[in-house]
Amino acid sequence: MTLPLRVRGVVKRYGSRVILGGVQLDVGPGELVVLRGPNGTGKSTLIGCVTGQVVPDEGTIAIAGHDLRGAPLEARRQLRALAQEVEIPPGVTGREWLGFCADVYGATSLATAGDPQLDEVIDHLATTYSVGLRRRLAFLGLCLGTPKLFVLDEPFAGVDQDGRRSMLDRLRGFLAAGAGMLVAAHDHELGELDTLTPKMVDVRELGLQ
Amino acid sequence: MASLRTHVAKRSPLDPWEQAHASMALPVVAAGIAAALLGAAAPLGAESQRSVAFALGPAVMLVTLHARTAAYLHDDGLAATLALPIAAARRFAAAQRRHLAGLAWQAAWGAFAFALAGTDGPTRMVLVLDWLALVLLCALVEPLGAAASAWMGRRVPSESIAGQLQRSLGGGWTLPEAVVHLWAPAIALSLAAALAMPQQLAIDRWADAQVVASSHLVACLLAIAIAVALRLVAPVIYARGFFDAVPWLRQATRTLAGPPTPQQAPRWIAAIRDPALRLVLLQHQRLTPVPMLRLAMLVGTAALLAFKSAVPDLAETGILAGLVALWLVPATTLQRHAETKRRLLAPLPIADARARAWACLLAPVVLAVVPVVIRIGGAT
Repeated sequence: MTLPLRVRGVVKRYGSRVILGGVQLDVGPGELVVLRGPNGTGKSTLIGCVTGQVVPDEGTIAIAGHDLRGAPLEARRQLRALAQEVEIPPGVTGREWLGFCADVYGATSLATAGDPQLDEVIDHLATTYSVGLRRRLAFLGLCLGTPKLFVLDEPFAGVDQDGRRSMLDRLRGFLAAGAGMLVAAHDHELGELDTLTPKMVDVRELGLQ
Repeated sequence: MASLRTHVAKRSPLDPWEQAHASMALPVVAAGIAAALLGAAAPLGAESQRSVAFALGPAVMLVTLHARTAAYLHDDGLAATLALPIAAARRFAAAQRRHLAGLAWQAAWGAFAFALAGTDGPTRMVLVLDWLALVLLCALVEPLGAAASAWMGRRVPSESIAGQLQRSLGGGWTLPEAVVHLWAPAIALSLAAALAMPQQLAIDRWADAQVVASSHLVACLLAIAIAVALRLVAPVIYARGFFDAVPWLRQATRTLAGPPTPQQAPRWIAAIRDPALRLVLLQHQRLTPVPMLRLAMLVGTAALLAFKSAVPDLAETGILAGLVALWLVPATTLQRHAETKRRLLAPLPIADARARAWACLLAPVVLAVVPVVIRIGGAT
């Protein structure tokens, strides 16, 4: 079976400083891997490599069997990445953003967000949303289509209890459907993620120097 | 849903992230300087003026090259959407729309400047037509510079010719993958200028009532055909390198293209006692490329215009207006983040400094513009 994520020998240096020193990591279907580790140990760099924002100096990354460099578009079609800081461009409503995501992922857009709080403001400019609501909107955009891998950087930052519950329900559904998940999280976010029976991985044990 | 899809398709997904104002001022200044130089060459005669224009055109295009082609590989929106499966062809198309808009803006100001500088009607027409021939070729060939930058901006085997080229041209001061961005766009522009030459020579011969030989016409058509072919191949080359080149370029920009420690704040800023005002001016200083040079150019030019014997003409006034814009435009970056900063500063026990900050930024403008306006007003 094709792995949602396969990382082999990924090395990343910034100047002479080695941030990732030969990372090997697999995320299987229906598996949630939580990356842990103190600040500055390379969590974001690894996430950046997996989402194509950073090009590793060595090694390969395959998303659902598609090499991220060799087949960048195919790999990205299977990927749903939620950055640490959500950036919804100004001048776009929540509905338009979901339409954009549907267009990008080749999916049918949602008639409603299915989230009472979001539905209430779905035709407002997304820049008028609270931080948590913006994050929920961005997350909802990622749920369109048939993703194989979610990469989430501190997914619940700024999101209230109801929002977290709704996000967890959706994540649970995708895990059951065979998607893999790679999540960077701090200790205070682990409570919620525990309900999804994650595999905890310390980034420093992945070949970091 | 259909209307939403149409809306998304019509509007580039990258548009809202772009810094639309960045490329507006520079073309005006470049055109103003070109008009002044051409005006200075006017006493030498129409032919000399045409020769000067022949060299000035590419120079004007070079000055504003980055401003109009940044959408291909440099803009923030590209990085923000890099994880999305947006095909490189779609990104190229979005970037080209911005490129052509920038080029049209540059073309209009250039045409105005060249028409202004011409001594008589026929000379004006030739200068403008020569300029437009260059604009056309730039529209066709400049995308190749971005495409080559994407292609050469990837990691390639270090022993390959491309790898050796990456290392040898960089001088070791930045990432080898980022070096291409320093030269490829300029090479593409040079190529555009070279391919525009047959057209320009044909225009000049026609204006001089000379026969344009059939071999010359063939050369013109061949040049156009080459340019069209390059334009057609550019998106293909671009697509092959885009997804690697953008991260490398960002890494070079963020880490190695300059020290992470900024230059010390000028003493006059450190001496300001109002913390909110100090913050705004410090940000402006740090976010504006070569701020003191901009300021010196503005004040220096204004002084020159105010004290020279002749009353400033339209081209000189245009240069001054452009320099005012060059000084003020970076403040729009601060303006874009004003709301975020307002929220950040709201709980702090300090007064809003926006009005005072604008007063500080506008003071040199007033200082520069008022004497020139008085001078022009006095003469009329």
